[in-house]
Amino acid sequence: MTQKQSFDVLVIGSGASGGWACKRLAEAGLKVALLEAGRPQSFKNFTEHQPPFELKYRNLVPEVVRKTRPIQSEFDICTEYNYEWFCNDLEEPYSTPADKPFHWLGRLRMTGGRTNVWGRVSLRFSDFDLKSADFDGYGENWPLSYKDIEPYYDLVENYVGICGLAEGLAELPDSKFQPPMPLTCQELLLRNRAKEKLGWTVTPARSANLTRPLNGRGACHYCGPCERGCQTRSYFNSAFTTVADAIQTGNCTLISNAMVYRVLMDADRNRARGVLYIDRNTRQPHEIYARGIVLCAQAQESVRILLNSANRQHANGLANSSGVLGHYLTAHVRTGGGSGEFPTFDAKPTLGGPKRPLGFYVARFRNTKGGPRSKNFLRGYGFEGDTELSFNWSAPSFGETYKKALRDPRAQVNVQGFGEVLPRWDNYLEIDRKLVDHYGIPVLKIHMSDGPNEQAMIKDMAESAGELLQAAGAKNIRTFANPSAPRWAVHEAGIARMGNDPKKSVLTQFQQTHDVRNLFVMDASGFTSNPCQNPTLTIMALCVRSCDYLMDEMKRGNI
Amino acid sequence: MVQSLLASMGALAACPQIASSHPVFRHLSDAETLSKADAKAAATNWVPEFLDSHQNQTLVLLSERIVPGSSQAQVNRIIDLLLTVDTAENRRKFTDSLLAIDVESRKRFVRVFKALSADQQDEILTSLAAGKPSVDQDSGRRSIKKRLQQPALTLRDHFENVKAWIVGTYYSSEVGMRELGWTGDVYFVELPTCPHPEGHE
Repeated sequence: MTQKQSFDVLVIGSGASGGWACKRLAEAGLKVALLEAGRPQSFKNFTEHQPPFELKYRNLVPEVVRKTRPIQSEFDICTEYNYEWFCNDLEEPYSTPADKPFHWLGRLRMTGGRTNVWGRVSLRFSDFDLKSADFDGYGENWPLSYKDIEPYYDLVENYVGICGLAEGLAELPDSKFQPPMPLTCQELLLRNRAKEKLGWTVTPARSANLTRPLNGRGACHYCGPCERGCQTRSYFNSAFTTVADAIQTGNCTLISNAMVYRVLMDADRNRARGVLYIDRNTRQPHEIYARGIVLCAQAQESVRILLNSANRQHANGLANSSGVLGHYLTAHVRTGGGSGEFPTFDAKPTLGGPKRPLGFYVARFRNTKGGPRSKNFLRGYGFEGDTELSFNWSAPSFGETYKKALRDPRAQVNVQGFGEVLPRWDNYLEIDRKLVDHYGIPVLKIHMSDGPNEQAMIKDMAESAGELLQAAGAKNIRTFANPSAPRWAVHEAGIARMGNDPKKSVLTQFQQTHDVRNLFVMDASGFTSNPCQNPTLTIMALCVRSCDYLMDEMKRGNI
Repeated sequence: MVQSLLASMGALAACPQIASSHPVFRHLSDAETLSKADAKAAATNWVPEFLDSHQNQTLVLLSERIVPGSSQAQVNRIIDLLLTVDTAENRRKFTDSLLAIDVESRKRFVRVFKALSADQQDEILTSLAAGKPSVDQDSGRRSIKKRLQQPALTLRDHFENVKAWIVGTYYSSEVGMRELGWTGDVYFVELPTCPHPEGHE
C-alpha cells in the first residue's frame, strides 16, 4: 500500500450518477474523491468533425477494433474513432455459462463513463412504472413514488438540457423541455396517422442534446456523430459538465485509472472506511478513506465491488444479508421492430448537410392504464425510430444510368423496440473464482437469458411495428423479431434492488445499503424494476435525491 | 491515393449490395496494405500484381462502363492491390466473375469482353444486370437448409460482385464523395423543417 488519503465522501465512477454525486456533494462543501477506472477525457480526444479519410484505416477495418475490443465493437458506437475509450475486453474479461452468452457492451474507461457515448434518450418514469406490481401483480413496487422524484427530475433537466415536445401522457410524464428538434415529413405523417388510426403517440426524440445554449454550453450544430465527442458540449457528457463543476469547487479530487477492487470495512463498527483500488498504470494497490462511500461504477461493476468485498462478517458479499445482491438482473430488450418505405416529399440525400442526432420516440401503448392488456406478456415497450433518406445504392444497371439511378432517393422509416425485462431471480451475477482481470481483480460470471415474457414481447414488437407502419401507409414493410437480451444488453439494472424490506432488498429508497449505513449505490443497480423508458434521467434524479439524504444524515451525525 | 479512394466507405454500408461483408471492405485490414496500395497505385510504371494483363484490361473497361470516371480514379489499380491480400476464395470469386463475363461475351459475340465494341459491351452488361440472382435480394432471407447449401452463382451474381467492387472503390474516393454532396462543412445553424404548409395528414 503506497497511499493513504482521507475525504468526506468517495464517489466511485464518473458517469451519469457519479458526476452528479460529486457535483452535488462538492458544491455543498464536502471533500470528495472521485475515483474513475479510466483515463481523463479531453477535447483533443474528440473526433466528431474528422472525416474518415483522415483516419489510418478509414473506420472501415473492424479488425482494428476487434483485436482488443471483440465485445465492445459489437456496439456500433465503438469504432476506430473512439475504441480506445472502451475497456480492453482481453484485459477485463468476464464469463458466462456456455449456453447463456451475454454481451456486456458500453464499458467505458474514460472520465464521463457511458455518457461519452450514450444514446441521450431522456425519459421520465411515472407511478405506472414505479408501482407496476400494483397494476399487474408481478414483482415488487419501488419504495418511492413519482412525487418523490419529480422535483429532482426538474432540477436535473434544467441543468442537463433535454429537448422534446410536451405531450401530456400519464405514462410518460413531460420534462422541462428545450424546444424539440423537428420531425421529418415522413415522421409527421407517421405521427398524425398513428394518433388518428391507433391512438399511439409519436413524438420528437426526448434527448439530452441542447437546442438552446445552456450554462455556457452551445446549442447543437448538427454535425452528426455525438458518440465521438462534442467541441461545443451540446450533448450531455458528465466529463465536461457535472464532473467539471465539481472539480471547479476545489472540493473534488479526480483520481484517474483507479480500478476499485473492494470496499474496506471497519468490522467493529460495521462501517465502510474506504476502498482498495488498483492503479491501472502501475498495477499497485492503494487505499483511500472517507466517512461515506458512494458506488456509481455502473450496475454490474458496483455489484462486482460489493461481491468482491466479502469478509468474515459479510461472507456472501458486502450488503448482502438478504441474499438478493446480484440477482434480478434486467436489461432492455430491443431486437424487435421494423421498417417501411415512405414518400420522399422531394427531399434529396446527400453526404453533406446538417444531421439530426436522434429521431423520434413512440410512447408505450401496450398494457397501459385503462387500455387493453396483452394476453401474451406483461409490461410494455416504446419504439425509438428515425428516417433514413439514402441513395439508391442497390440500383440496377450500370454507367450513367446507374449514376443517375443512384441519386433516386429512398426514404425509409425504421423503428426499434425498447422493452422492459421482468426481474427474475435466475438472471444473476456471481464472482467467477477461476478468473481475474489484468489487475488481479476477480471478475463476474453473468447468468442471463430471455424468459417467455421477453420472447413474447419481442414478437409483439415486430407485429406492432408492422401495424404502425401500415397505418402510416408505408410500402415494403419489413419486420424483425430476434432473441435479444443476452446479445444486445444495454441499460442493465436491478442487481442491488431498492426496497423497504431488508430481507428482500439491498438498498433503501435513498440507495443506502440496509446493512452498512455509510455505503450507498447510486447507479441503476437499485432499480426495483426496469421500465421500458431509458434509465439515465432517472439514475441522475435519484442520485441527487440520495446525495441530499446522505448529507442530511452526515449533518445529523448518523454517518 | 487509396486514402482518398476509401474515404467514404462508411457511407456505403447502407447499400445492401455493397454491404460490409463484401470483400472490398476487408482488404483495408492493415496499414501495410494501404501503404502499398498508395505507393503502387501512384506509380507511373504500374503493372497489376494479382490480375493478369488480360484481366486487368477487362477490369479497366468494365470499371469505366459500370461507373464512368473509374479510369481517372484508377479503380482497377486499387482493386488489384486489394486482391493481392484478399482470401483465396474472394480472389477466386473475382476472377471467376471476370471469366464468366468473358464466357458470356464469347457465347454472344465470339470474342472476349475487352475485344467488343462499346455497344456490344453495353449489351452484355445490360443482359447480365437483368439476370436473376441466386439469392432473393428483396428479402435477403433463405431457409436454414438453403443457407447451408452453396447456390450456384448466376451471371447476375458475377455482375453484382464486380459492380460492388467498382462502386465501393469509386464512391469512397474524395471525388466520389464530393459527387454525392460532401463538402467538409460541420457547423450548421439549424435542421431543415417540413416545407409543406398543407402538412401531412
